[in-house]
Parts: sequence; structure tokens; C-alpha cells
Amino acid sequence: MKRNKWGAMGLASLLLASLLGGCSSGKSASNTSTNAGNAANAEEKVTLRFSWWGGEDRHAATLAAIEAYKQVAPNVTIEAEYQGFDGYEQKIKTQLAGKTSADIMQLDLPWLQELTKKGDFFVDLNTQPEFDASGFDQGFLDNYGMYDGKLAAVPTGVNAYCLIINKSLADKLNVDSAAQWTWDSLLEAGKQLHAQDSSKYLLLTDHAALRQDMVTMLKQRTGKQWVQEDYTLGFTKEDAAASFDWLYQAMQAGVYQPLGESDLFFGKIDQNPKWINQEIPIAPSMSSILPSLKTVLPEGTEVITALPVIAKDAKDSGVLVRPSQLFAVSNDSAHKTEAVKFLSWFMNDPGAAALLGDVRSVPPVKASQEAAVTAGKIDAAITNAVELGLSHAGLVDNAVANNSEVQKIMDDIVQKVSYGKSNAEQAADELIASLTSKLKDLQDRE
Amino acid sequence: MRELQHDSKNSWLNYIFLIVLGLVMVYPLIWLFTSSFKTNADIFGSSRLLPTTYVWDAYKLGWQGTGQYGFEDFFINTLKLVIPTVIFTIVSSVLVAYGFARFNFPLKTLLFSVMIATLMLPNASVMIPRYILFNKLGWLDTYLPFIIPAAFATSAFFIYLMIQFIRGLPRDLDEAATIDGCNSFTVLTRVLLPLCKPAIFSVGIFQFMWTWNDFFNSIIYISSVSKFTISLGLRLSLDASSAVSWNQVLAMSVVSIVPCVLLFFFCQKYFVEGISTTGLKG
Repeated sequence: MKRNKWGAMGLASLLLASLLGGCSSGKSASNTSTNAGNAANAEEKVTLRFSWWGGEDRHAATLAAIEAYKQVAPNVTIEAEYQGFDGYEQKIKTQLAGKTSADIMQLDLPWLQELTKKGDFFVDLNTQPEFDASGFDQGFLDNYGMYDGKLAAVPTGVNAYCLIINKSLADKLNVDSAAQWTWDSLLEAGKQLHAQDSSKYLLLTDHAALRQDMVTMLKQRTGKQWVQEDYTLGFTKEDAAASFDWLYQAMQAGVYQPLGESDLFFGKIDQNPKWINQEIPIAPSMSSILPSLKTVLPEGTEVITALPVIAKDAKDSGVLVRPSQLFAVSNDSAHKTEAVKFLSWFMNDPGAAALLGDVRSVPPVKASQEAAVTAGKIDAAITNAVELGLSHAGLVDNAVANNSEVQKIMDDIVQKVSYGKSNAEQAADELIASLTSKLKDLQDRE
Repeated sequence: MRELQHDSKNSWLNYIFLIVLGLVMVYPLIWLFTSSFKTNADIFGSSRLLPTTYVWDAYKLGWQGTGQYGFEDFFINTLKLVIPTVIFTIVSSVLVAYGFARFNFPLKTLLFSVMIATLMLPNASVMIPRYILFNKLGWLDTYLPFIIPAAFATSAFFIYLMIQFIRGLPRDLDEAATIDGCNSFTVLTRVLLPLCKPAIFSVGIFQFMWTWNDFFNSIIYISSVSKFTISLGLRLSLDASSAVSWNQVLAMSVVSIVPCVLLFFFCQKYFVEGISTTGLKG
């Protein structure tokens, strides 16, 4: 019996070894086959795969644009692979590992850092003469599309942090919907509103939005990244304590709905009953969330956008502007040139823009944006948010600040403060201690 | 007399308790059904069971689906995937289980432990190697990654379930059949299979429901929307940054659980017998 056990383990490890062997030999085989495909003739029939995630509107508009491309390039057939967000990340990562990804794919910003580090998956669009990047804002491309000096991906749309305001409700509650808020005036207005009617709160939130607020506050105080590229902190204990103190007061005063209730809807704030039943007038959020926040409100409710909170003596506006998603062309594609041509058309052509509208937020190319506005396909509130965001854009977050482990530390402490479990001083101490050790850890791993 | 009264009072209490418990269990399904007639604001904004404004077209619009394909396609696709998978699973699991339960062959214990070991393997660890294997075989974007492994008895759980059931059947039956002229294969088909019916139904129903509801494997292996199954179709339009017609999603969820519920009701008798008798000796 005992011997059999050892035999079984031996066999199991053999199986494992053969599986691993199978993986590594796979790479070389598929590389050679794609090289042969590159020499394909332009006139020949070409089939491209295009994958994206999204909702109903995005599917319908993108399919319409694909249909329109048949007129532009009759020899190209585009197979659409679309789905909801669930499982998309896992699928894309598995496909990239198996070298079976679509030729053109939609990606989310947080994945790119990791993916571009792990391998050379994407075509450098700067080396492709067929790609017209002239319409893009160069700074925006550099900040979000360039990895290791290569233009690995282009933004599909511009997304800005803003205040999404239920104007009809704000008017009813005597909340000034045209105000440019500072942290002090926000605290004051929130306090008043909740004191008048204890079922009402000024701001809709979840812990991610609170973290964003704290980071913004630090940036505005210091004019620097809160975590610097050289793995040091960009703020002092006083800065952190002051920010946490504001959060503590705001929570106590009922500016926000208690986190224990609101965080049930983490990542899907549009499902919060307080927003749906019109008891919260303002949602600080990315502009792309606006359609989902608007659709749960009764017909005829006016929803507008405004610039996010900026402190009076801010050294940096701290306003976050980022791509809604990005498009990349696979390096394993058999028809790179055709894929790049399609992407260039998709991003730059006014006809395409008129079909697509704001299904991927406001187009990053100015001409496309105008075409979409003319076609009446962009919600004026979203355009307003993006324009305000671009004109007040703050520092661009660096990779270290976007690291998920670093953000987790801020998340935890924000929650402790919000639940009243630790005061501003303690929170600031803990933040600095945890961050310092985590950053050292990260630096050692590099 | 007094004892009888006491008994009937007790059973009434039992019934009330069971009815309440039953309602609690079924409540999500009832909510699912009534919510398919609600507006988005109703679904998330109130906890009432019945809609304040009724929306009647959720089933019709949901069935049409988004873009190019509707739920008619997704249903047909799912049946194309599920039916062969279930049939192959039953056939292969029974054969393999018969072998393990009734025969002695070299390395039997070793092979058995390897089989059980695959039961312990977490799905995540085999996902990428399996994906690469199927890719090399050219099976991606087809239903073969589900059907072919089923034909080779790769689900250790079902084999184990069948083994335990067959072990419970007395060997005397086999011997009697052999004396009457059966060979080892006809012993299985003529004697053991009819007795195994409950276990076979359990395997079939489990595999049907798991494959029917499976989301993760389907999303990994199937990329063309034309080949999407129901579980993929349901999530086709769910995205945080766009408006979702939840009533349509819920309506289609209701439709998609109908086959599972029907199958369960029709086979209930065998199914319950199956899971409650496996593992019983003698």
C-alpha cells in the first residue's frame, strides 16, 4: 500500500512535468506561423477578430461601425467577439498566454502595466505607418499608451473624475448645483442637509471613491504624487492627518451615507437605493458612470456634471483624467497591417465617430468628438465633465501609486477612519508606517 | 385518543414550519420572477415583491437579445453543447466505474489514486495548460473541449459516485448472470445497468445542470458570439458603465432555469434515490 502511494506521487509529478514541457514548447511553434502570415497580400480576403466588453448600446453601435467598415475595405471581414465585463479579463489573459487573442482587443488601463511587463503582446503603433495618431492629445497618449517607449495601446475615450449631480433633486433640497466646491463648503453643505433631514446625505460613495478623495486631497495639499516614482512618500504626517480629519468629520456629520450601508454597492453605486429613491443628490465619480446613474432615475430627471472638489489653496487640481479603456493590436495577429488600418479608421473617421457616439465615453480624437457631438450622440453632461477635466487636469498617477497593494493600504485605513475605528492621528501614523514598509518591499522586488 | 390529538397537532406544527422554510428557500426564485416585470428603479429602489409599474415586454425584448444573436440561438447552442456532454459522461463514467468496482488489474490502486487526485486539483491550476492543449488540437471556439473530455471519463466525481453505487450491488448477481451465460460486458448491460438507474440519473442531472450553468469554462473556450451558450448570453450586456435593462436579464434568467427545473421534476424520483443510496453497503 505504502509503495503504491509513492508510485502515485511519482506518476503525478511525471504528468506535471509533461504538462509544463508542453507549455514551453508551444511558444516557438506558433511564432513561426504568424511570421508567414504577415506577408499577406492587401487585396486578399482577410478576417480580423475584434473583441470588446460592454453593454447593449456599445454592442449595437460597435456592430454598426463594423458594418460600415465593409464599405471602406470590402476585402476585410471583421468578426466581433463581444461580451459583458464578467470573465473578460480572465479570457483576455488566457488568450494572450495561449497566443489566440483577437487581432484588435479592448483592454482596461490597470491590466496594461502588468501585461506589458510580462511579454511583448502588443504591436508598437508608432512603428505602423498606417496608424494616424495625429488627432490624439500627445500628452494623453504618452501618459497612458506608452510602455517602455512603445505605443502599445491607444485610449478609446476620455474619462474624467467629476461630480454627477441630480439637479432636479439638488434644487429641491436647496443644494447649489452650480457651486465650485471646496472641501470646507462641501462639509458645511453636507452637514446642513443631513441635519435638516436625517434620511438625506449629500454624497454617494463607496470606499474606492473615498480613497480617491483622500489621494486627491493629498495631491492638492502637496502638489506632488502621494507616492513618488522613487518609492518615497510625497506627503508628510500633517498632510495625511488633515485629510483624514476631514474624512472623519464628514462621516460623523453625515455628509456621506455611513460606509456600512453604501459599501454594499461597492463598484455599482448606481444600484444604491438612496440614489435611486432620490435621497442623495451628488455622486463624485468617473464621467463614464453617468449613463448607468441616469437610467435608474425617473424619466425627466435632470442630471448634470461639475468639476470635482478643489481646495482653495490647491497646489495641484488633483483632477483625474484617464482613458475609459484602451485598444491594442495583437503582436500575434496574422494581419497586423489590416488590423492597424481598421483601428485607425475606427478612431479617426468622422462617420465611425457619428455611429459610435459616447459608447466608449468621449472620443479622444478632437475631430471624432466634434463629429459625434454634431450627430447628437454624446450626452452634453458627459462632454462638459470631460472638457472641465481636461482643462483642469491634475497630476497623472504614476505606476507605483496605481499598484494594487499600495491602494489596498489606503483602502484599509480609509475604512478604519470611516467606521470611526481610528482617529486622524492614528490613521496618519498607520498610513505612513504601512506604506513605508510596503514600498520598501516593492522596491526590493524590482 | 389524547395521544392521537397530540400527534396531529405536532404534525401541523411540522407542516407550518416546513412551509415557512420552503417559502424562504423559494423566495429568491419568486423575486426573480416578479422582478422580471419591474423597472430598473423598482428592482433596486424598493424591497417590495410586486412591481409598482408593470413592464410586459421584458420577455419579448430579452428573447431578441442584443446585436446579432438572440436567445433562440443561445438555447440551441446550449443544447448542442449539453446533450452530447451528458450522454458521453454517463457512458464513459459507467464503463470506467464498472472496471474499478468489479475487476482486478495491474496498478489498480495506483490508477484509482491518480483518478481521485484529479478530483483534488483546483480548476485554476489546470486552466492554462488545458487551454494550450486544446488550442494545439485546434478545438478552441468549438464545443469539443467539453464533449471530448466527457467521452473519456474525466470527471472523477461521477466515476467515484458510480463506483460506490456499483460496489453496493451484491456480486452474487454477477455470478448468477455469468452462470446463465453472460460475459463480462453483458453482465454490465443486462444486470447492473438496470439496477444502477438511480445513480445514472444522478450523474445525468448533475452534469446537465453544471454544464448548463457553467460560465467560466464557456467564456474561456468560446469566443464567437454565434456560439455563445445561455450563461454567456445572459451576461452579454452587463457592464458597469452602461445602462442595463435588468428586467430583460432577469426574464431570460427565468427562461433559462426552466429546463433545469423541468428535468429535475421529471427525474426527481430517481435522483433522490440516487444520492441517498450511493455509498450504502449491502
